Amino acid sequence: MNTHEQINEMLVDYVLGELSHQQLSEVETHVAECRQCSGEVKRLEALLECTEQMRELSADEQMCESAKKALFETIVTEQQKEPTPRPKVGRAIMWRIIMKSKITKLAAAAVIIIAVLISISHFGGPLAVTSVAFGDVLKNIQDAKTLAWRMTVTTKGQEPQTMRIMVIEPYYMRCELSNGTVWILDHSQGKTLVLDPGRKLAVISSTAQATLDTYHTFRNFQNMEGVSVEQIGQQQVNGKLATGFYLKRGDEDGEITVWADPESKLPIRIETVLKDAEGNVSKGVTEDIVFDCKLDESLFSIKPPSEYKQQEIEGPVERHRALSNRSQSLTHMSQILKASLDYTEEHGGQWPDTLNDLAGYGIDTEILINPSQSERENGYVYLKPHGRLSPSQIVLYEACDEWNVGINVGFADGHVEFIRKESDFKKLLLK
Amino acid sequence: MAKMDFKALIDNYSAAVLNTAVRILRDAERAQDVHQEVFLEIWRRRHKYNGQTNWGAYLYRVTVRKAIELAKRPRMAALTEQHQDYAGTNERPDGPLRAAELQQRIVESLAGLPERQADVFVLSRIEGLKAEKIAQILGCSQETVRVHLHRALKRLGRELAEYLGKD
Repeated sequence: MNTHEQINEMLVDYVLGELSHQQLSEVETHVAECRQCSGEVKRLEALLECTEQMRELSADEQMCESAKKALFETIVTEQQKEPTPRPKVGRAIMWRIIMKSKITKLAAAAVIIIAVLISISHFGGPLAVTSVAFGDVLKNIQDAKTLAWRMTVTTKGQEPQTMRIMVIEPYYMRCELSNGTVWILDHSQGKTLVLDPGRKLAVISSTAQATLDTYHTFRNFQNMEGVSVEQIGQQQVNGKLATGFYLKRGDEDGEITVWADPESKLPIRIETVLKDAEGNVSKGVTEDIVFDCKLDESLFSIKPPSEYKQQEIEGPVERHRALSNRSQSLTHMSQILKASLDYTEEHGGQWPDTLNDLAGYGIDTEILINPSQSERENGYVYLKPHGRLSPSQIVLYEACDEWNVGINVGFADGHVEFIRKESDFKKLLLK
Repeated sequence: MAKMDFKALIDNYSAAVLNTAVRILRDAERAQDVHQEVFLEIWRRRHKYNGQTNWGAYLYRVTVRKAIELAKRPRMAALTEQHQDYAGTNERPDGPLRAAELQQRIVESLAGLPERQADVFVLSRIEGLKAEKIAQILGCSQETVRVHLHRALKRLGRELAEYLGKD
């Protein structure tokens, strides 16, 4: 004969109709006499009846269509928000880039200067209104697909730097510095190559998406608000008579002077005056500007010459990806630890034997993969805790063959930390 | 989604996701929110699926989780109004009103249960699935399903005694 407690434990099976004939008879006899158990049976039956009513609800066709429509609309909006390889750059930022560029960015700055000229012409606006002649200069260059020019930058106290720059829109740029160094950017692959002929060294890296704008602005950059243009007459430039235009934006530092050939109506010389944050003035002269010139595409190859020693360095794209993967891995580990704690709650404090035991706790195979090392089936090392447990005890960490910048480590209290030093990790592990 | 047709996924599972959500939340607007969140998450991670996903089981799991999460947030306006009416009369509601209140309380209590217990309870009692199917969805044994269901029923019975009627 079962006790009251034993019968009480059978009440759920009773209301679910899962008792054997003998158990059923025993429970019914007890319930008829026990007020506490009969009350519980009534409550459980009311609970089951109520959930059965909930089961009857369903979504109609209109609701389904409406939900699908809303979903697809959101997806379209998200797609539009997704970063494109060529984001637009604000006008004020463009002017700052032109005027504040450090020497390593001067090549890009020179491209932007030309982009400004082209787009002003293309879209009209205050400059075109101010000077029809200047508009004529620009009209001739707005459809250029290739560009080449030479730029010399002179900064007080430093040797003049001269660079030859070639561009094939919209992806490729090659910059040859006076010391022989060659810098090639391939925005279609998001890669840069720097060739150092002195050391026969080829350094490959990624390039940030922000610099991809350089060429896109040729077409999308509209008139520059607040920029004044003034015709400053004619003078001899490189043995030719040229008409000058002076551009300035409000009270901001820096100015641009464009000298154009009155016959071809093409710019033949662009002078920039730049001032850096410390007030040092650099003067840049852009000459030998050739539009739609023939450029050999092999000049833009990011495949290093065979005789060069290759070195790959982490660029901004790789750094961003690594941080993103690290953050996602941390989320995976937090989920695994939370599921483990749920498991222990339901197993009298026992931790799972393996992470595969967490399948019933929302941990699927995808979560067991570390995004930083997606080739590994199980990206995490699990240390099943035994006996007395300390909250600072390591129970999970990222599997790695070689220590790099650090790893995410999960502790018995469910928190995850990024540990940078291997020695710190080993100390914690020994605990 | 190289190995999965996202539109086909929507066409095949939209109704199922909405049904589960509306049964738990009893609110069309919130059920649509769950639908949106569930599929949007899949869409955002669409490049990461390897073609091995059991979508039926996966969608059951995430839909139940999201619906219970949503149920924790302030409840729907209609039911609040019902509660206000009930509070004004100082009497217990009867009939459909009482059923609606009880259903709301059940869902609120589910949010306080361990996740596995809540999932099993919803899949068993609200979705009406057999233990074998639930075990397959949650990736555990049928015995584990039975234990979770028992614990959930016992606990809900205790916590909701006030609404289920005293002995």
